[in-house]
Amino acid sequence: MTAEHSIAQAGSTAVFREPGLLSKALAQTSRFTRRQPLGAASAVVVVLLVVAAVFANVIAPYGPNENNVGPSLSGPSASHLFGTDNFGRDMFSRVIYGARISLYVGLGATLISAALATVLGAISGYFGGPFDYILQRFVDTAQSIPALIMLIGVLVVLGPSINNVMAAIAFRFALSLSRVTRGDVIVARSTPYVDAARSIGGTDMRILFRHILPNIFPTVIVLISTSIGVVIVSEASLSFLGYGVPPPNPTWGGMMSSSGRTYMLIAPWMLIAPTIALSLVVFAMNMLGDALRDELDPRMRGSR
Amino acid sequence: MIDSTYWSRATAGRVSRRRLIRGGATAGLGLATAALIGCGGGDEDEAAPAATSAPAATAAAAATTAAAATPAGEQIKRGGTHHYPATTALNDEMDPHKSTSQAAILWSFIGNTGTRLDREATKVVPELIASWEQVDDTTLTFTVRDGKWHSGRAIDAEDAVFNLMRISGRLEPEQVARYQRRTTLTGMDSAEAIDEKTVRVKFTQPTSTFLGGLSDFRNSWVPRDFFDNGGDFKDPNTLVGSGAFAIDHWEDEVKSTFKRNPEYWKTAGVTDTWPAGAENLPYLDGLEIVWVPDTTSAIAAFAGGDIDYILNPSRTDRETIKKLNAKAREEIWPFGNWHHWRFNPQRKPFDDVRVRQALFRVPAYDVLANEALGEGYWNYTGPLTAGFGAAIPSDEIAKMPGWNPATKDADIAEAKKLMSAAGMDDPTFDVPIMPPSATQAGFYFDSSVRMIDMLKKVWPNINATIDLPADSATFGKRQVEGDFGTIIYIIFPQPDAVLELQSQYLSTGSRNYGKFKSQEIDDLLLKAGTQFDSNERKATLIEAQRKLITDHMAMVTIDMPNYTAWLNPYVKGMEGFGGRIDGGAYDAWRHTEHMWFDK
Amino acid sequence: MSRYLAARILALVPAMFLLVVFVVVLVRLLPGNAIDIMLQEQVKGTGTQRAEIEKRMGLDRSIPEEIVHYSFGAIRGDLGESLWSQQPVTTLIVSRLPVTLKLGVLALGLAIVTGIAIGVLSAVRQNGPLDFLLRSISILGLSIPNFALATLVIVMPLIWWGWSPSVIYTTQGDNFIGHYTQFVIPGVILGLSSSATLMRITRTSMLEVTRQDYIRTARAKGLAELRIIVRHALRNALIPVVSLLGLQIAALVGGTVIIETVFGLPGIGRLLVTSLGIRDYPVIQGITVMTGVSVMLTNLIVDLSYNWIDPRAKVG
Repeated sequence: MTAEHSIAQAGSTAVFREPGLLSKALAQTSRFTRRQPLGAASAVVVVLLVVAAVFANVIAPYGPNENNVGPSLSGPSASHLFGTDNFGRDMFSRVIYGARISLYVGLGATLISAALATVLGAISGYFGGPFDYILQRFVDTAQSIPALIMLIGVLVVLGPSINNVMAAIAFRFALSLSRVTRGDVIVARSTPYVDAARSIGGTDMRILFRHILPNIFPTVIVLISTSIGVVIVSEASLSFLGYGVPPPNPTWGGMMSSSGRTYMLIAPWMLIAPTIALSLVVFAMNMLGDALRDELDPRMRGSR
Repeated sequence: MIDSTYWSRATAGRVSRRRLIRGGATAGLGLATAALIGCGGGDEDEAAPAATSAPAATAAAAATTAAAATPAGEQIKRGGTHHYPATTALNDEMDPHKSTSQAAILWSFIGNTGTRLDREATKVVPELIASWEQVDDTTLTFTVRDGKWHSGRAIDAEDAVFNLMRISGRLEPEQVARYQRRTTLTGMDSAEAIDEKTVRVKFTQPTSTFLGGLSDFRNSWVPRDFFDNGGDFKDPNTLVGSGAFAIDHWEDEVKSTFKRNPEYWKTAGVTDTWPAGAENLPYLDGLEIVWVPDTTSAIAAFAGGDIDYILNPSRTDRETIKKLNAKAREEIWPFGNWHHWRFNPQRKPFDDVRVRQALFRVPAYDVLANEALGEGYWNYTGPLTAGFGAAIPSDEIAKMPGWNPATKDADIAEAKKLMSAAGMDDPTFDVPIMPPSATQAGFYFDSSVRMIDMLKKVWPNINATIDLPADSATFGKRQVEGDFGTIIYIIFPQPDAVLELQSQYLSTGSRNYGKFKSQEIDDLLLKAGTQFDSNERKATLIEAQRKLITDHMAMVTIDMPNYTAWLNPYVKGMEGFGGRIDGGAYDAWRHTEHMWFDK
Repeated sequence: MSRYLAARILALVPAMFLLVVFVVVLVRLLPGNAIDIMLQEQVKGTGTQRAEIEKRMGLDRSIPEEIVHYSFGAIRGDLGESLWSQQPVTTLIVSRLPVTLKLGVLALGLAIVTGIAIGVLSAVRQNGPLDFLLRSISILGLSIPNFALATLVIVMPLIWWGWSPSVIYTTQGDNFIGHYTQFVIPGVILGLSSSATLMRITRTSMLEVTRQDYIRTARAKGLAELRIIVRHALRNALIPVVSLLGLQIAALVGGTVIIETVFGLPGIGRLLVTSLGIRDYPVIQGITVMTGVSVMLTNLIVDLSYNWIDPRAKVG
């Protein structure tokens, strides 16, 4: 449930290397598949998630909030793969549309937090000084409050909505992730390469954009891939406590929480279908993130 | 019977008794967020246990209860410990006179009120006040029961005076706002002990509501020397009452135990509120409140015999109970709570009565209630809850346009006409519906979803949405401040028909959240408050109800749910105990003094 | 070193102050307050009477006043009184802490043991079947939200056998063994995600360390593999693991909110959620500040020991 999980991963990913790997992309993909079969399989799941999310309206036989498309609380059948819920809504359709929201919140919050973390980390790590000191105290503070608790408080104040949930998660994660990017920027800043750029008169902006940011990019990629899963679980946990994306939005977390729990003894599919969907996606995201880290981290390569 | 001539004239009192306020908060489970506000009862949200809500005062009418409670030939057994499941913390105010609901569970076990209502809510019956006499329109004397506090001291007239003063907030004037039942004693001018057992109460004006007001289930009496003897409401372990059980050890959310009060004053023939032949109550040695995380856990424990009963399970929980505990026995009775869909007439377009009437005619209320509560678990009700004798009866409401399923098509056609008359052939306005919590399952949320569907079938472009508050406390704040378009919720009635209608529809009504205002209704309701003849009073109230339905429709009354208790088969003495008004959980808690175990 | 120590301790002061500011401001921003809830039955005509109650409860203080008042109180160890039960917040926390501690210690202990063991095994057998299997299981524990797992643990037996683990809280006095065994299932579920996190960091760190020169040297010297792993690699690999302890504690406290809710354990997580519902400001503040300070202090201790254990660690 915490951003710290991702940091744990990325903490050791400080890398410094030349950008421009695009040409090798194809070769790398096949190499990746060979070396990281689990990662590759996970990538397939992630692709499926994206497809489900993007084409939800094509794949899903019914609208996510279309009531009485079948008898309510009926079990899985040919016409309703995952059964129906208490409103006679098609659970399969809701799970498919749920992919859209999970991806929107998961990816949205992660990208925003990664972008924010990169900017904060770059400024803080590169320039240091009072801004750095103050920001780090903010990060100390933010990290000392359990993320779930902080998010609940913030969301009661903001009120429930998809974007508020996304923004709150993004902001909380950004503070934690910025510590990782900051660390990498500090490492990059003290390399001979940057010293050389500075000695030939490179401006701070130029050095930041041309030399430092490209070199923390792999870290950011790993942060993103390991954070999405955590974000999705965070949203679900908030839903469980009643503070997540508000219904009737078909979120997996929401389906797993009060409605799923209310009917779990007489219609367990209402709980189980979204649980499997969410767990599978989060699992794939995590495995993919690990595989990417194994590949992207120079200190990891060259083994075997 | 102590039914004084006065009381045969006035059926009830002017009691300001607010509905209960603790809803079961429910995040996810039923428990996670302790929410409050609202009241509750009769809904999955607040499911069975504890702070759940539904109050009760009540006393079973002697004859019925007596017959039902001790089936012929059964030998009452003494002993045993009752286990009651609570799902929420009971950590707020334990002062019965300040608390809005929380203290009530505890005081239902350890305390007594001055009076109670009978099962049909038609008259006030004695409790700690043994008898009374209306000396004149502004003077009443009453006699205090022969009984003892848990401390061993006899209950006397000074105790009664202390409680009257305290409930009305006069002992702590600077904190008077905290005394949440002070208006139940509206009109009381002074109270004095004229001898050891007798109290004389003077009123500033003719007041018919006093004895009814004392029946509020939270108006428990506290001994006058409570504070002098080291009592402290901060510490429930120090509480002293007069009830069937005394506090043994209180530890919130862990376990709380109560032991039998061997000197309880209720013995055979003392009052008419319990089974004939009952003596030396209570029968149990003690009781325990145990905390469980949610209703499902409580039901599992109930099936295993670790818990003795489950109060008011939701429709799905009933299915679970039947599955897990086939031997469980159901007690069911009509209970005056009412679900409603309240408009905010301060906001456009809900200020237009035609729009309100049009919206009212569309939803199929039988579908909403059947889906959420189950068939046979609810009744129709008009503006005055059908729990009261002065209400338009359920079966009459069932035949009225809007409620009547048989005329739905015609009603919808009429609704379209009304909407057109209001200038909107194709309405596109917002209809935000605010349920009390973010809980996704339960009467309020589920009914909102269904109502939106029903409205959109008639007017496809109407922007009906669920307006979800962040949590129950947020809901309460927004409700009180009138910050809503429409609300779907439940109201726990006051123990008097006039007071109940006044609180909702009087322009100054304390629960008139939409600030509905009508001179005509104000006049009728104030007039009813001065009528001592029960038939005249009823006539006035019926007129007000009809006008509310046909001319105003300030809010839609969806239904009046039945209340249920599911008991393990060995639990005896709880037969037929529920009251129409003031029933529910508090009824069960108070009635624990009659519970005995056949095992 | 002493300069670093001084700087670290000094940095705690603004962080703690920020913590108080954040918590006080957030709590005051919540819609509705305790008085709204207390007075909801008599909402009419309470304007002036309300001010009197606000004063008695200290809710009449402005946010800056409250920050100053609260900070000075906190320094003296006075976290105020519950607005509802009027018990001192410290008393409430102390009464609930043992449950959370028992749960937390069990979860953390389990997480450390299994996380490190799986991490090491997984690293040693990198990209082999054992690595894939162990990692998959571990990551699966991270991927199923703990509330879902907890629900399934309670519900599935109920569906299948009509029986479920009892969730009625058992006190130590009632049943000593029952008291401790009731923490096992919740503790395991709570520990799962931390275990996976620690597994990942251990594995990564082991992979790095085993590629260092001194390990190669050790191998060249012909030392036994087990000895190399345990004595040389693991010791160094654990440093980043240790550094995460503070954050893991924060994560666990967040998890207790859910686990205590599902399993009906009367700990501080549940107290926090309850207090939020009734807007009991001092209790919400007290729990959050106490947790925050504990995490900060843990981080400090970890940080210092880290520098002490591993002299190469960069100071800064």
